[in-house]
Amino acid sequence: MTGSTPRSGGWSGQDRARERDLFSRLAVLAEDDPQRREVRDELVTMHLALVHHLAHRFRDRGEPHDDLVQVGTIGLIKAVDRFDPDRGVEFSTYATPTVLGEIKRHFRDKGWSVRVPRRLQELRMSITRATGELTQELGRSPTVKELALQLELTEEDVLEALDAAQSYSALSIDGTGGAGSEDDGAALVDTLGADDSALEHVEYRETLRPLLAALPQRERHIVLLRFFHNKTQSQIAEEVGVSQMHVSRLLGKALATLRGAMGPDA
Amino acid sequence: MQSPEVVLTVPAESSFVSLVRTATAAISAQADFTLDALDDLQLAVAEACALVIADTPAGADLTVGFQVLGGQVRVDLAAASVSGRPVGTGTFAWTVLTALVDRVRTDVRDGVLHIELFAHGVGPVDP
Repeated sequence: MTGSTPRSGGWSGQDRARERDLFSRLAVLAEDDPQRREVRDELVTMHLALVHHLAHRFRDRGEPHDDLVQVGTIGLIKAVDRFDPDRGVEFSTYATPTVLGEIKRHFRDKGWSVRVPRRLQELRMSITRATGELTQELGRSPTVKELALQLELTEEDVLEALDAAQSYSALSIDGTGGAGSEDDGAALVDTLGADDSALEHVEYRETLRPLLAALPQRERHIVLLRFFHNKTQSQIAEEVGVSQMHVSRLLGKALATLRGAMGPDA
Repeated sequence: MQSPEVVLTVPAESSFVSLVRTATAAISAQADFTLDALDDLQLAVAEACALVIADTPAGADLTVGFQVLGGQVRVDLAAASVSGRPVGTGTFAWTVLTALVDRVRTDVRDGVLHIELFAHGVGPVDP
């Protein structure tokens, strides 16, 4: 196990000493000591490569790498909190199952691997790929017909896969607020004003502002780009670095959240 | 190309919105919409459904009419209205609708709230 993790390769003796030092400090710091947070943060940051490495193992399952890293990081934090350096086990060895557990739970919670047939998952991935290629080639997003031609499928197949992607997103709306959304929310309030002069002319901005601020950062950014800067989904996909299909899912999710929070009369 | 109107009637409940979305995708694909345009129209339809459903009496039906007009799709959502008021144009929902489609119309006729959406597909249009 030790040999397969990235830290053993890239780590110097100094790093190891630092890690030992941090863990022994963490063990003696009181729960409410402000230093505790710093030490914990440093330990988490030091081991992020492990999370990336483990998340990479799930790269073909149709979930964005960033999302997996986010949930994996929760596992890492749990592992940092529970690790006992006196047991004589390497931290990376100890953390690996916890991180993997969180990532697997993410898939289970989404109901993705269970509810959507394998064939549709694969189809969805090839559509995502082809959409990216065709968008480059055509300078706009492709039509269903063009996708069907490119992938040698019927238009019904393409529609079915797009639909499956959406029902998947419907499931995730019902789930929890998403990993790390709390932290995102806090940081957002600060950035909202700077980010968006486009909101100035919106008459209900005072209602909208806190609701937008409560959205996970990426969703909020996408909502602003789409509705207040009039960017297309493909343009947003390129800017944010996710697939168009993912932009569409995030938009749908964000709108459902806003709709629920605001009510019909806002 | 002008197609006959396709009309879908479902209970005015949120669990049936996915059915309306699916129909929207199929009709948009017929009209050669790009994925961007197709997704935008689907989002707009879902938003409009939510608006209409929020104002219906219990047990009401939601009627959705689809029509392809050249490269355009017209979607007319209608259901009995409790308030008797059309959708307010100062709302966030309205901003969303107008950002997503070319044109939105709303009114209440004989106690029925209508939201009419017009969208074009940005795709290649047959010469």
